[in-house]
Amino acid sequence: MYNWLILIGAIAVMIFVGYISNQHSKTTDSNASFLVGNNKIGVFVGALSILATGFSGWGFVGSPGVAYQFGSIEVLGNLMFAPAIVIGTYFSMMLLQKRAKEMNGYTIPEFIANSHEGSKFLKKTIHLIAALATIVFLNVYLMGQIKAVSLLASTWLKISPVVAAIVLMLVLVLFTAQGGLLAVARTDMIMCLGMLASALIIAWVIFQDVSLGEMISSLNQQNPILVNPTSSNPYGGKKYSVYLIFCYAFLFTTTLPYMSSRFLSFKGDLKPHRLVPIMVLGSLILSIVPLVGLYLRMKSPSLLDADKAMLLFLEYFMPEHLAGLINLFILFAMLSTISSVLHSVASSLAYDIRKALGWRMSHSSIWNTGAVVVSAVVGIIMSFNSPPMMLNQIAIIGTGGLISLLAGPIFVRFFLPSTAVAAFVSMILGLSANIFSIYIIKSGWVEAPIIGALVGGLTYIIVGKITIMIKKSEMMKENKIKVIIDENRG
Amino acid sequence: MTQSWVINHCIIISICMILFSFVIYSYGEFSLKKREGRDV
Repeated sequence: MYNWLILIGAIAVMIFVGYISNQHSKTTDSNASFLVGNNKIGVFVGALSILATGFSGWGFVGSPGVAYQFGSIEVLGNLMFAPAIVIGTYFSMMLLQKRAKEMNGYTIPEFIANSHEGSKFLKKTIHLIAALATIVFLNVYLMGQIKAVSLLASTWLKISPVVAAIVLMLVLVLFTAQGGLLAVARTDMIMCLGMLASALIIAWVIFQDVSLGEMISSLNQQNPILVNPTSSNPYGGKKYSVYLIFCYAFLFTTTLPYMSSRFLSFKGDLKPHRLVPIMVLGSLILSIVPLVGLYLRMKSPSLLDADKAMLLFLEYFMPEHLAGLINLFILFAMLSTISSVLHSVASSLAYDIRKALGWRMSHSSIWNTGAVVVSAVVGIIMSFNSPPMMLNQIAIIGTGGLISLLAGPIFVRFFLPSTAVAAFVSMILGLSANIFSIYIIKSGWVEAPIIGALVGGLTYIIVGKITIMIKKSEMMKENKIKVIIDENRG
Repeated sequence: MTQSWVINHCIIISICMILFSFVIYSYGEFSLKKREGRDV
């Protein structure tokens, strides 16, 4: 009953925030309101919403399990997200925010299309590819997140996973469709405050009992590999492979539409350096959570299912009322990511596809609401009914594929503006390289997107240089012909 | 006391991040004030 009460309270707050955001971001242009929150996102909301989206439920549920099984390497692996998200955000804000406004882009696919020179057809093609990739890959990611959140909520509320998924997605649909990106960002901020509070409570409970030094000594006695690993398992065979997570998370922050679309929606006069201290403090606090796995390993070294580390910690080491609250905040951590992904998928569905296909852009608010509902319904249906083999295959390519596909036209574009042809070829080859490295080279989920992004980025630079050279030589030829004609006339 | 290279790296990274935020924030505010002064 207590769990239901705090959940209902939290849901009421979310829907109220959605309503208020709808009032605040109302303009005559419903696309500006839904897609970029009418550029009303400020420093505090922006910083915390990026953190909440970046540090998903993985940090609270998956990461303690990995720390339990593989030891302290997971604490470093999870910590890699902190500098990557902070530096990636600062870097993107410095470079993307201004240019996106110049290019008049509401979404990342539109920004890609508008910021590359080329024929109208090619621009529309890259707009469509980026939108379709966003819909397909993020939808699979969405399904995985819905499945995870429904399992957690069903255990917590003692209801079936399907009912839990429907209830939670209904709430997300209500505030996302109502308030657009501003509502998503504001609710993310509230959820992030909850996540930070639970990370601090967890740290307080652990360090009341043992110091960090005692924990390390005790784990060292169990197995020295837990505290001084000789490889980065499960992130790679070499000792320092764990640092590759930094590259992965940096690319993930700067290229994935559900992260980078946030950079397009900040207030025009927002100063990027003001985000940094808030994000550093928040990300360091959130990075404490995997210590739960180490603590539980120290206390109870013979768990059969390492993934249950956090649940058991809450059950046996946390007072009951606090455990209920932290369970709610873990749900928040997952829901904040789901709401951002849902918003990105819906934006591509309602806006990018129509724009790329040259359809009329009328009745946008109906399209936007419809797209949120359709994305959520498809997500729920496919989470529980789709063939797992097919989903697994797409999930393996998933976000990594999207990173490889978008690295050239978004990330390299920061330094080296190029042509639509280069963007097109880079997208195709980047994605192909990601698939090739997963299935042929058998790279891991961290290495494959980095390889794909490298191939995509290099292709973007090389093809860009070639197309610009061809264009220049054509212009020189035209000029020469003009000079000859002028001379003959003279 | 047992040393862990992983935990040592975590501590070093955390300190670097705090220093990074201090430098970026101070430099950003300094540049802003400088620009405002120039505008006046």
